[in-house]
Amino acid sequence: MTIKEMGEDQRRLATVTVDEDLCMGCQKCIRTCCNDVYKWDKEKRLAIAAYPEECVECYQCMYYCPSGAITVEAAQIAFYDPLYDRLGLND
Amino acid sequence: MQNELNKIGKVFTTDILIIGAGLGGTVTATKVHELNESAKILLIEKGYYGYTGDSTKAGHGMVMMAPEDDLDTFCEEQVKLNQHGMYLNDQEYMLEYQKDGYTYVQELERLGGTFSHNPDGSLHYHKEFEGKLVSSVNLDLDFANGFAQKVLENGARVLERTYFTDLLTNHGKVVGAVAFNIDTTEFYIIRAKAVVLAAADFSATAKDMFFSPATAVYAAYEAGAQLRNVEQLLQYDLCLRNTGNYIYGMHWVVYNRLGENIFEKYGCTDYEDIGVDFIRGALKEVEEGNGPLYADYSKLPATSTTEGEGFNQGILMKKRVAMSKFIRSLGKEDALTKPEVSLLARVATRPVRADINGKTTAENLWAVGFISMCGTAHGSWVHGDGVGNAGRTALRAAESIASEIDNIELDDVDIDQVKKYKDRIYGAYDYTGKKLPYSVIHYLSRLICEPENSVNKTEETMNAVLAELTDLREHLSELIYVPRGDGHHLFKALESRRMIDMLEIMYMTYQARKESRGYHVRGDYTERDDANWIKWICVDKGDDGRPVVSFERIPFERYRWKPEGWKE
Repeated sequence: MTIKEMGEDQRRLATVTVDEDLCMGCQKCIRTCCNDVYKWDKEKRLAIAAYPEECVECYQCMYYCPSGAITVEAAQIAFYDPLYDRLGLND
Repeated sequence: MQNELNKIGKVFTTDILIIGAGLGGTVTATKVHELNESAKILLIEKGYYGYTGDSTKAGHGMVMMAPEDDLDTFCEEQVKLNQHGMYLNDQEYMLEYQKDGYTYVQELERLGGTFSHNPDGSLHYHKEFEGKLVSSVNLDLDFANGFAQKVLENGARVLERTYFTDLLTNHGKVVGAVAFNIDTTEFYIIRAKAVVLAAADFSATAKDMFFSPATAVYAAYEAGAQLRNVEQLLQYDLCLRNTGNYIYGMHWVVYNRLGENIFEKYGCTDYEDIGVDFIRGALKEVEEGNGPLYADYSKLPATSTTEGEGFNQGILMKKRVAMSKFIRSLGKEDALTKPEVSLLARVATRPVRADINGKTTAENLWAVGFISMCGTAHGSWVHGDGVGNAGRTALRAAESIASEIDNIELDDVDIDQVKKYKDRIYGAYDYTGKKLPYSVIHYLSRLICEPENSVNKTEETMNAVLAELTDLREHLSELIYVPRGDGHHLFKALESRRMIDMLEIMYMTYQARKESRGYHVRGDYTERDDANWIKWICVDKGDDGRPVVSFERIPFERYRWKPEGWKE
């Protein structure tokens, strides 16, 4: 399969959400994320998970968030698995 | 000139520009300041200062030679047994690098690093691997914090959220760099007498904590720095099948559905790293329907059989399992003690050539840490010693920079070059495709991890990858788009371009080395060929801008350990 034929496989992406009611705007998630998942929303003065496709599921943001506003749901297929993927065993 | 530059972007001027404020960058800055207080230092960092860098994700240890061990025996082991060595070592560099391992640890501690100690105050260290001399000292996740704080106390300037893109050159000398702010997308021009690349390697596996883009490596190459040992390295780690989390030191207790031990079945011998025999064995087992594979923690010995007691012995894993009795009581014993496992491929390159002082072949450009780990060719690096390599090479480079900086003049920058680089960055806004740039990175990450393109790669499969890379480069602007004003996707567009460029160089060198050696593995040349291939592969930028691959003889006449049958 070439990239031109490849659709976005949502099963390979983690889901990252920030609960707006709980977020206090401390920006700890923005600072701890090593892959630039979060962005500062200037108007709402809250963090938003702007680029969840970058998430590598290290859970540092969830760990540091003082108000429990962040939820990281692991991708259904977590990584490029050379043993099982190509045989369709992870589908 | 300054006025003209001001019209193009925001201009900064410094003596020393350090690119990357992880452990390598902050240790360099700390040590330079101590040796030469008058030198002005500017660090740029794409993330947030004090939070970024691989050392914040490692938290394991720093590898060294114990003070009571013998340097010759230690280094012989590195030449003959280490996968990074295999006679490709620059043995002069290696001896110099390893001889003061313990002193470097003490020096890092003096400068702000924290290590574990015995109750009597002496440094705690242990043997890391079964049957090997390598020792390790333990450190904490926040190891880099002490240095990061000191850098600020010493008055260095830090620009965070600043994405470095290219090095500026003037008649072959490096005279600064260009970058942009990720949040505002403002263009920065940084003039400097000396530049230090401390920006990690190119680690191409996107769904991995240690992913790092090819931008810095490619910038060094484009500025005229030679690359060496590009073809190193392909590493595999054992991981949990459901999450992809690494589990170290367990591959020798992996079993198939029939209860057969894979490590024993395929005659594996390497307890430290996952060898190619294990990888091919595991692939075969799953293909033949003998999967799933699982790691049986209960088969680990209660204590080490030899002096090795490190992370890779798996003993710590066993202790963790023993502590989890309460979970086992919930009837989930198998999930904990016999988890299903798979392999995770890491395709990376760390090729900027540097000497023992961190100097690259481009004038006024130094490189420290991962970016030059294979380019230095010392070959005595140990899997898991990123922080040790960063700390040690940074200290050494700092001495060299501190002594030379006063004799380097601030040179002019080439305005046309600055404009060219600026157009190249922001030109991505005009791309007309439908996908976001990350999809190219994810796609390529997956492509190169396929067994036929990694552990079993052949001339034919590599030609196919190279053809695809050429096609992608030609059509990238029709494939992806960057939302205007979005700094994140802007740097991802650049990363996807650089990934294509760097992977092309990597696959060219994979093709050039027609054998398997250490972390370079092929499916069509499966054996090590000492008669023909104990030489370095180097890459330079040619006059037409295309990469030129060349071979360099290794000067064994000067070295202590010579391969069998070597004649002058």
